[in-house]
Amino acid sequence: MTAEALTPALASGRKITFAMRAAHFARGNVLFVVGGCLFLLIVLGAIFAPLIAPYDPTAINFLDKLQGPGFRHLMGTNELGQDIFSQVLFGARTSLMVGVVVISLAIGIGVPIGLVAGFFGGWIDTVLMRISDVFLAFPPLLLPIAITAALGTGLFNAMVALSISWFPWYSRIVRGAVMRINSELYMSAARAMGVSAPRIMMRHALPNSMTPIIVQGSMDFGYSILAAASLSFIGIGAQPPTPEWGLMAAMSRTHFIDSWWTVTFPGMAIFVTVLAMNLVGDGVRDILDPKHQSSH
Amino acid sequence: MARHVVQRLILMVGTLIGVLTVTFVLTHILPGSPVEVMLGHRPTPDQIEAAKHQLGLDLPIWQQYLRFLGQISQGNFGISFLTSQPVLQDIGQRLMATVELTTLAVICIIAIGIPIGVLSAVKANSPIDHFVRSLSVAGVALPGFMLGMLLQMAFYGGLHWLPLQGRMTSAILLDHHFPRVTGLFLVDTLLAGDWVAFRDAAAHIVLPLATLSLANLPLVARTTRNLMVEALNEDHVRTAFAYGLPRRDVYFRYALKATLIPLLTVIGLTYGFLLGGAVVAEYVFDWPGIGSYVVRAMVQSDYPAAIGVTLFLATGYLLINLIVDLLYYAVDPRLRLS
Amino acid sequence: MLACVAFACGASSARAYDLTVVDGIDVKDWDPAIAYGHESYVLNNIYDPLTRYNSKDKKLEPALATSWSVSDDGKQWTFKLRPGVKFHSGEPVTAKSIKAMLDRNIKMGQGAHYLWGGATVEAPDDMTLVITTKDPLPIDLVSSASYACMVYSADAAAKGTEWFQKGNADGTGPYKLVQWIPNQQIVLERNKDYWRGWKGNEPDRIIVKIVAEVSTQVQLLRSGEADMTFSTIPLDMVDTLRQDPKIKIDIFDSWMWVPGKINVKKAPTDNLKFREALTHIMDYDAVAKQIYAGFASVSQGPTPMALPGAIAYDMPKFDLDLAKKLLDESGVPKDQWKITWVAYSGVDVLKNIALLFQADAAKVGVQVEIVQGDWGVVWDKQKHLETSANVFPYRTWPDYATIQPSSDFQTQKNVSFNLGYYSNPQVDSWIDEGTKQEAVDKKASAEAWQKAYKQIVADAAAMFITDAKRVIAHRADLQGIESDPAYETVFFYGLHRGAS
Repeated sequence: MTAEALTPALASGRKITFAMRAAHFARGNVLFVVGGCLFLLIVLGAIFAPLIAPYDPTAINFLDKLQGPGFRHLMGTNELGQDIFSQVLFGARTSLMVGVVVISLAIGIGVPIGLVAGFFGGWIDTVLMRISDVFLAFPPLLLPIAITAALGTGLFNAMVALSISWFPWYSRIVRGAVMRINSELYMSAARAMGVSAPRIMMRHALPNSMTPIIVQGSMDFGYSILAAASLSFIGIGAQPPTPEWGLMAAMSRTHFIDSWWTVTFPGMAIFVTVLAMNLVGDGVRDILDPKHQSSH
Repeated sequence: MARHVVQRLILMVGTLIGVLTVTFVLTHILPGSPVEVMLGHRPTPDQIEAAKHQLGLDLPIWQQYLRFLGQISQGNFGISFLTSQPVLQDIGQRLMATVELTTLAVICIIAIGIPIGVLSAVKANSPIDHFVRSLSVAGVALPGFMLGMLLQMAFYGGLHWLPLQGRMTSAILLDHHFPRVTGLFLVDTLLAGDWVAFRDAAAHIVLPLATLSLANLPLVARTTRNLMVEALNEDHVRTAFAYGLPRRDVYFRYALKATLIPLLTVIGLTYGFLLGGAVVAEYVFDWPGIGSYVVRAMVQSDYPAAIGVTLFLATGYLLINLIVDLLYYAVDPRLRLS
Repeated sequence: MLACVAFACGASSARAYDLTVVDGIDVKDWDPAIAYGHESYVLNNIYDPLTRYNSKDKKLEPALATSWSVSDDGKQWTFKLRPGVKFHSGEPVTAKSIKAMLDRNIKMGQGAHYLWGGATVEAPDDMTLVITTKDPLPIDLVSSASYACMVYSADAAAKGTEWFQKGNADGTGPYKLVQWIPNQQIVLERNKDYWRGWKGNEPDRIIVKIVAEVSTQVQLLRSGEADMTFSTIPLDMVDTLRQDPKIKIDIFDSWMWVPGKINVKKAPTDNLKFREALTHIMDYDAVAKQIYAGFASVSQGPTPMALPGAIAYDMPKFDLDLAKKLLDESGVPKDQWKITWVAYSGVDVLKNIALLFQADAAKVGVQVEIVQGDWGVVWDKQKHLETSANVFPYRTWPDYATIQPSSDFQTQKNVSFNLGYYSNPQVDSWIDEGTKQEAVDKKASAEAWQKAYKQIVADAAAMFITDAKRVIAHRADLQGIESDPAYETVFFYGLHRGAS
């Protein structure tokens, strides 16, 4: 489909402008564009939350408690009379931060370990990979829960916990990529020329494993938001008054059957954000790595 | 083959010791000891000291670790600080509740997810395919707790069709004495021929099961679809079509078979994922399983319980992965040679 | 099988039925010598104490003991036992069985054993019990406590903790334990031979269903699957529940109150003016009316007004202007107007109180950092000055009818409940005096305590946030709900279904 779509433009011999490329790209990647736009909206909402939000998300107003959605409160209020719309807006900041921090930390821990393991091989590789195996042997979510419990409840600790639980995936990707290119000619050449090990890794091994890392990272971004929300939901992630969507859903549990808005809006916020991010992630993967069919 | 299995098992034991160590360290980092919670409303400082001494919590951490290893190697997992019951007994009571839920979820996911995936692949780029793909993309993004609460709102709050929580109605649990042969209520009630209890157990499992299945189904459907699309483009499948073999035969005998190995991985992973993911579903539905137990144990520094359960779940997780690996061998003769 | 037969019989008789009570926490310690927590809710319906405190009349009533007397020095107590009472196992209640139980409780040194002050117990004859203590102690009141005084049989004592922990019990109370499925349910059956007798309209069985989530409990109550809930229902749900004609909400006095200890050893709360300022930032009315939805009253002193001997003191009021003035006068530099505030997990009201205080404090320029964590963790941290917070609110209640707990403000070398590190030798001596006098001269005791409490208020050693009430939500057709602040339970005896 991609090739066919390009043919007329090529055949006519016209210059392909940037706008044409963009339009073509958008046609071929509708979901990516939709996801990207949604994501952009969320980012804008997060950045301008203080300007858009009609109320202080932490302000308590008992007179207005558990109001349904309406003109005064777009998405209603919770048991403390806090404005849910304002909380959802500020919650976007929290969630985006979670995604960025978790993925950066996981990459920050995982990539060096994978580089070292893949480059040196031998016992270093064995030891590092055995350690990664231990982390991967925990059923998902169990290790983050254990780490958060150990560090103490709180959003920051939950983010650290998620990164620690996820770094082995990145180690493995990098290690695999490094091992593949390790045997290739230019690496041997570089080594023969006496280029130092860290330099080889930075110059050659790292750039070659960037693509799968970016793909994995963009796919994991949404999951990290989801996982952090789950941790907050079971009470060990974000703590009030932090505006966080999972926490909002948790706090609504006593009312949700009667006051549907208390859980529905924060829940929808998580859904839309993760969906947008997943669409972007899929798109990134398709663009950077067209052959790969994810089974993540 | 046998050698391979033994090798894998040895590796697994090593990994499990690692898991045990990590959990031990994690549960011992937190300041404060479980003793404070264990002793009730207003324990005296003397009582706290005495309890700490009795549990060996006043020893240096490495001594506690060795002591713990010694106990574990004798099969003694200790007594939970929070329930005052032996950890193994607690696990025994709760594990089957989780196994019942997750196993059924895996069955549902396979039974629904694979046909949907195949259908979507066969009708690639048709409206059905687009619908399935959109749903699967959306489904992955829906938080499990949100799904559970929505189902509760609809089927309990709105329609009054299904119970809100738990595994069985109190009166039935009390008056229907079906023998606990397997610990799986659905199986036990069937074995006893107790239809009332079976229906009650079935009604209770529907919502948590739906939550777990729906949350994980999209992944399997999507993977099946992608693998199937690939397989349908393989030469031998095209050839089979060209020879005019019946379409259904081609789909299920050639194409689906080719996707079996990667699909097994996904299903194995899903099963493991469910063991962990059940935490949230059990939390929402008050399901008396291992997930809710382990969270409480971890948060309240109930070391014996936290370590015991983690070890159990990790063993299960690794065993499932091992079984999946071995199935590869069974499915793909080429691997047996290497 | 047996139960099936019982059920079948029950179905044939018009008045036989089950009641379902939901509770959030399962029984942890079935051994009455150890039980010192939430299990008192269930255990107090299986076991009887020697004496029973009646808060309505503010006096002790006979239970398993019919009469008692004390020596002049307040150290030797003699109890006469009720004849003809039998344990659920059929064993008769004698002074020997009670001696076995008390000796065991005291020797094991667990739970609330310390209430007995290491007493020695004698059984001169079958129906007479003599309890001797080293220091004067109000043993008549101690014998009425919710914990450490539940009378179990000598046979059960001999079988020991392991037997209890499997979900066994042998008491004299109105209900006996017949089934325990951990984390799912506890089933109690009516004790037909109960010494107080039966009217005939009571349920045959009471099922205590364990449901962790309060929100779920409320929903079970609304659907009729449960008749009553033990746990405190979310207070802001009360209004919704009140609109449901099938549900009634009973409010009982309670001895539970919420002191917020202010750390006198940690900056900036080591400054008296600063502490005083904090006590004026707390919006006591909003806590009682909004956060507690009216099911609490503004504290009028360091002890809840429902306690015997409690009087009102001159307490600080919510006044942000005054708070601002005091803050300015305190001499604490503005950039140090930062405090830490503990809100341990699992108690919504404490979290909401923290949020309310945080919001109000911000208005006068005080920055409040809320520290959360599990009780075991935050308590342990507070017990070490380096890791302690500035304000530590918690819920507490006395174990029996007294104006203690003394340890809360008495100088402690190893802090256990003096969580604000308060220390005042004068207050210490008043507390000692008050404690000593309680066995012999309740009036003198009360006077000494009042002097101590007055000083504690003047020193702003704590903000006394609220006196909570006990809220029991139940189906409208459930009657005979009896709850006494002296007991952390609702008595099942007398509970029955009737026309609403």
